[in-house]
Amino acid sequence: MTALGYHGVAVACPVTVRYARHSTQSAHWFIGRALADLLAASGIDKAAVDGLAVSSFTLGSDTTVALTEHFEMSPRWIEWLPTGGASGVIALRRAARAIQSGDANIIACIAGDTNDPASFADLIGNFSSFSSAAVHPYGAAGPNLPFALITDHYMRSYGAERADFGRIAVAQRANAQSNPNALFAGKPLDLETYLAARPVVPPLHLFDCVMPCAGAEAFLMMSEAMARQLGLGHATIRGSIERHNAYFADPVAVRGGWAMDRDDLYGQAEATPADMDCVQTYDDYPVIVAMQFEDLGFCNKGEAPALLRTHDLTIAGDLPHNTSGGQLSCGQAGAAGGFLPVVEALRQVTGQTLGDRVPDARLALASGYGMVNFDRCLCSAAVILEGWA
Amino acid sequence: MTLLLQTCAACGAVQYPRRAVCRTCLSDRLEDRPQPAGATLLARAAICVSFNEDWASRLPVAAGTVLLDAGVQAIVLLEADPAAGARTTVRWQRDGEEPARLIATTMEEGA
Repeated sequence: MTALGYHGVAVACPVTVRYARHSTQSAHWFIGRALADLLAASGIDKAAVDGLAVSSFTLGSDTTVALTEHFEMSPRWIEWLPTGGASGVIALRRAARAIQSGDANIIACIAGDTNDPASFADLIGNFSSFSSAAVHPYGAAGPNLPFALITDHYMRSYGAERADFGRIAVAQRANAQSNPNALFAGKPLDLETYLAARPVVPPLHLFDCVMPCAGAEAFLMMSEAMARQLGLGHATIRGSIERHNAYFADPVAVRGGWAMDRDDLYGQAEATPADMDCVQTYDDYPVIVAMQFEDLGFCNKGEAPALLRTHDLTIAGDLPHNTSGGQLSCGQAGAAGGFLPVVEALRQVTGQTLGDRVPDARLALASGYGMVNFDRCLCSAAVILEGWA
Repeated sequence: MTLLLQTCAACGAVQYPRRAVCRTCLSDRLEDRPQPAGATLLARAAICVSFNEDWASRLPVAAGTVLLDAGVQAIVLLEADPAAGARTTVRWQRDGEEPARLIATTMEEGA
């Protein structure tokens, strides 16, 4: 049975609730404010929103259904995305099918998290059964340890140097300068500073690591017909993929699930990597950005360093990448980090950016990667959006 | 030298981390068996920042990924600074009330 396309589905109303390094507000507050902003941006009544998809790490014992009562809604479709950094793409995929089937007409997709000083340490100490058993007892370094090992292995395997990863961080920092939401706007970064930064879990140093923060990202899903009727700038979905626990026989991760399914992605979209006007990758660590460029077909395995040396990843460059600044320069607002690529892609192709826009951006690739269960993230996903401003 | 690891009695697959059912055949006939303790070091890192202050006095800590001859990979502490690609011997280290940890040491020549 071949997969249905995404005909007739619209993605609209990119919303960002301002990031804060720490907050005394709850995740419920961030998600609730995102919902309020979606309604204000769209002119839609809360009662008309009949679908709700949520991702969060700091709702405690609450999930999407608790929020239906918190926000006094009676949706006929809900989804809970425990897929971390892949949650934006996966929420979009789930919601698209609900719209197509008529199970819901207007779906709010929201990711939000708070961040108080103790919450991140608590989160990483109890993140999964496998990490509690087989990673946390080894230095309690959180995801920095597995990704330092992935980075070390990648460098060794393909001859990459720290400066290759530094180029990613530096370009993203440049992109963040025009984004008022980026926690590192106003704090430029050059390669020398990147290289000299203090070690965290070498080969990872300070600017290889995201800053956990509080915030939310959100969008609405509805039919194209409704989006036009409401006069909402929107995107359509040219193609999307997801995969979990790809390549589990690789003893150290060198590739993610996108490599298994990228031909399907570009086949659905009838497009190639060269057609993308911008690329929004999930940037928990620069090595994973490199892997996404490779596994999403921009270059061969191990050749991302060469790609990065010969292209300009800034907004005005020839390969605009993480145009918001990405998590490395905005901050990682928990699960909202998994929505950031989708929301920024939507912003770029609909001309609703917080910062500078890629000129005439029409096609955007957004990628997701999430849930470090043991020694690698298990979820990978990607979507190609086409803008109809 | 051997290393005690959870093993499937139905198909022989070694399990790490420990599981409730076999990762390969889904049998629940899992038991601890001595497996070869040899391993190859695939990646290494040095932990300079820990989220648990109990580790503060021990930092930096060398850690790595080894591919055990028994057929699974593990994150381990490194003893005696082996280089990536080195052959190592892995053992369980038990330190008072702390959880048992895997520790890899450089394999002796001819071992």
